[in-house]
Amino acid sequence: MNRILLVDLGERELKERQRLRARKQVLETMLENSPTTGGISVSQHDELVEITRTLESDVVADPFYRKVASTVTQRPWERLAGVAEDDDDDERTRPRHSKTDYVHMYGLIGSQRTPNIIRGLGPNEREIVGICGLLQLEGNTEPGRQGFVKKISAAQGEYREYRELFDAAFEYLDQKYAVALRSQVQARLVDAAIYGVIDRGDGKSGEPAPAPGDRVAVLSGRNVAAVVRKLAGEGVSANDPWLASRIENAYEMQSGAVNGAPPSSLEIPLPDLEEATDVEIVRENLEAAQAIYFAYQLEEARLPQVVERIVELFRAGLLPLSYGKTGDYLYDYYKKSAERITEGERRDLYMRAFGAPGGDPSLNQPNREFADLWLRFISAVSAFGRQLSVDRMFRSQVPLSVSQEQVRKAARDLAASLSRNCYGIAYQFSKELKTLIIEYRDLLSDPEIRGAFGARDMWQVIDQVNANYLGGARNSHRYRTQARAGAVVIAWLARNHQRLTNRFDEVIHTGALTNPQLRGSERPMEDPTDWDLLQACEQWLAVGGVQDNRIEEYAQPVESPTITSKPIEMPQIARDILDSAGIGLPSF
Amino acid sequence: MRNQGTRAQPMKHLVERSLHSAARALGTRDPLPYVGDLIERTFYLPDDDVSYARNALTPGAVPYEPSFSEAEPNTLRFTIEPLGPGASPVSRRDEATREMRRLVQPVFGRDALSWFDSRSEEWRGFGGLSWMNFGAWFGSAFDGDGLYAAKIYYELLPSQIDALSPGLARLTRMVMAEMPTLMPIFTSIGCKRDTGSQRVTFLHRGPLQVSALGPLMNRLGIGHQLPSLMRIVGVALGGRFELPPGGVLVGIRETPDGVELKLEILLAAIPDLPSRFLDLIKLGLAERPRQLLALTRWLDAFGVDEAGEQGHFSVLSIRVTPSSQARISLYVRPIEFEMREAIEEAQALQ
Repeated sequence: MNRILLVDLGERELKERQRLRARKQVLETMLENSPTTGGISVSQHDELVEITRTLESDVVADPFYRKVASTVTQRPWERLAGVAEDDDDDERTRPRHSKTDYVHMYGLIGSQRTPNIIRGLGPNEREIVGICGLLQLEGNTEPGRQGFVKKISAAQGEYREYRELFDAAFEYLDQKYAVALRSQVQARLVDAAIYGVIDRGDGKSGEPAPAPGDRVAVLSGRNVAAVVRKLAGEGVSANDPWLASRIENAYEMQSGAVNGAPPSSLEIPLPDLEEATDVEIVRENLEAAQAIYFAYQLEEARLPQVVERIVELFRAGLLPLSYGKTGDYLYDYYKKSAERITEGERRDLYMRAFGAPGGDPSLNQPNREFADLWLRFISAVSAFGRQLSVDRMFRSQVPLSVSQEQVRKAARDLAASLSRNCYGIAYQFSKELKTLIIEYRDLLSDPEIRGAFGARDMWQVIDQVNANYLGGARNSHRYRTQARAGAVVIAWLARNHQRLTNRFDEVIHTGALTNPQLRGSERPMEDPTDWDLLQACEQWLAVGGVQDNRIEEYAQPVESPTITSKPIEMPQIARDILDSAGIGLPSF
Repeated sequence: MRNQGTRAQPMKHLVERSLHSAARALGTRDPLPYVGDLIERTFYLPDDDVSYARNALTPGAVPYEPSFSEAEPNTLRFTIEPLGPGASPVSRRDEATREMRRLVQPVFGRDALSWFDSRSEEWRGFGGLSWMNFGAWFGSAFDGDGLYAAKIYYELLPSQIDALSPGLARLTRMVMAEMPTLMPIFTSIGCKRDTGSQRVTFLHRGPLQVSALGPLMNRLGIGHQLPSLMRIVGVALGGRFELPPGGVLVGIRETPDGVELKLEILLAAIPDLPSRFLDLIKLGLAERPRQLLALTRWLDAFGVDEAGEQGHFSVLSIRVTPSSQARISLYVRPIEFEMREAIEEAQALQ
């Protein structure tokens, strides 16, 4: 049996430690340069001591996990991490570090840190991992946020309601995906300090435990939670005879590992129409908006039209393709055209989400404010980043609270607008659009297709078809840059929506913009850092040719538009009154 | 503008009143059921807000410009700069495009919408952020049956000529080759019940002798209409045939009859506009009594009776085609929408 490594918690821990290391470096630098910087204040000194203490310990530093564990166990964190408590574990197999049974170290939770005897997760460990997974799934990961404890309780209630399904999912998945520990460290999912966390290897054996070559079973509590939520939503019980198969299928659908699964590993659940919500920014709506925006930019480059034209040429026998997967795909595409989202439907969606002129004007309520809010947000971020750079050239750490609030306001307005306009069918369409985009990319990158058009890459195919068949070339470089940059911006909004509500901490961490250790994420379109956001905004503005004076102008705050937390339809009675008064377009 | 001592009200009320009364006087359908929402979104600020004056359509006045056209004598035509003074050019352009599409589909049909979409593709998305000045203007015309025409004006760069229809692009290049002093600045796309057309408008750099249009008009096959064009200009401007720098726009478009040339004279740039300008215009129309009557009725509808007020008339345009002699259009800035007094008041308070 392999140790179970909780990769989602491990990754959170890695990021928190990176942040602490970067902050420590800043404070130490200020301390070293006391003659020029004026040293550090008392509170900064205490902060430095606390950070040093945290980093020297292997105990989890992630405040999210700390809060969940102490809330679930009803004990203060300090006691929980330092005092032995009985749990449900079998006495004979009690790990040596029983004091930290509820505490994970770099993704290894209590029962997985025994030197020799390895077993699965205990019931309490499963519960905490499951609750963390549910909270991550909903994007509730900020322990300082008001109502966070209530969210934990809700997640705990959900866990207990479906405990049997969770148990079945853990049983089935906890040993299923075994990999070398080194691979997880190299993929930057786990901190390298995990090596030897159980045994430093300075004893008789001389081998650290765990060692880089050790095999571990990776498990993501977030994915387990997503699987259980999906099964529960489908009414599957823990006694289902096909449970194992259903769990496997749901898990692979989550991770996009099977053909036809959504490319995103995030399942977008349908909105619960019965549940009252107290937020105006719905993360899932932003996830949908991200895919729709990406598709919209590619639509501007005429990517779908290019594929349609290639299919037409294929039908007419004008493409020199041999028998094989490319021809099969094109044939399949042609035969299944009725099942796909049409151009009109796509344009309706773009109009509803971004106010893009297109689609059926009589059916859709366009998002009129999007263009302005979008420009204001990316200009505000850009101006903030530039201001910070200039400040750093002339002064040391200057608080930029006003600018932070301007960015927060612009971000909140934009996120609320996108959230309101990407309800309902946008979820399903966004999934289909993602799948289509990946298919298009694969098709246009196919060597046979590229060869048929004498192109080196897919963008040359697009340019060729646009120029020769679709009335002229489009600026494909601009659209693909804006697609990527826009996707990063919306992903950042979705991931950080909690920062946008009325609080007084940083919305963009200045450390992230100034410290090289905290820069770019490995997957900026899924998990962007603040640095990625700034770069995406700068790229978007640069490729759009927006000049500095315009950026300054857009970055200025304006009164927020009226944005409801959801689309409001005018009651039928009111529409009847307006119709009777002759207000509204006549029908033709 | 409101009178002194009255409370400020949203500017939309003034615009709506103006359109209501003009529609009644001209016997056309009320435009507000069609474009009321856009009017509301555009003129939402108080009527003494001087920021209205900062616009590219009618600088110094509210961006609302009714016009009379000899070719469409009994219609109520007006152009606005959509959204308020604080809107970005991109928002304005998208808003005008959406409004155009919203009206074109139900009134003129799906084919008209498809045609408009194909013509306006270049002016959608996020292009133009770096160079757009005003974004777009939106024009509409109404007759007794309702919406008669809708038109959108997009800013145009020389690099966007390829985005025009092939025929119009060729024509544009030909015009620029023939008269290098002409620079394309915007294109207008208009839809009517049974037809659609696109025009490119050029700014003439430097002063222009009207007769200098002769070679260009000959190339376009309308050289024989130059005399009638010069006659209108000469009569209306009191014998002036040289137009000052920045005071001339030239528009061209393809029509079933051939190329149409539209000479637009920005009257604010004319240093010595005759005080009897309106009488001179009427004199030019004397041989076409029906048009003269229509002009008189139209002037009454918008309360324009004296040309003495500077800024009353903004543009005089004259069109010629191979088959029709010069026909005029007259664009006005109704006096109640002038912001001069409000600007002076604001300056006095500073």
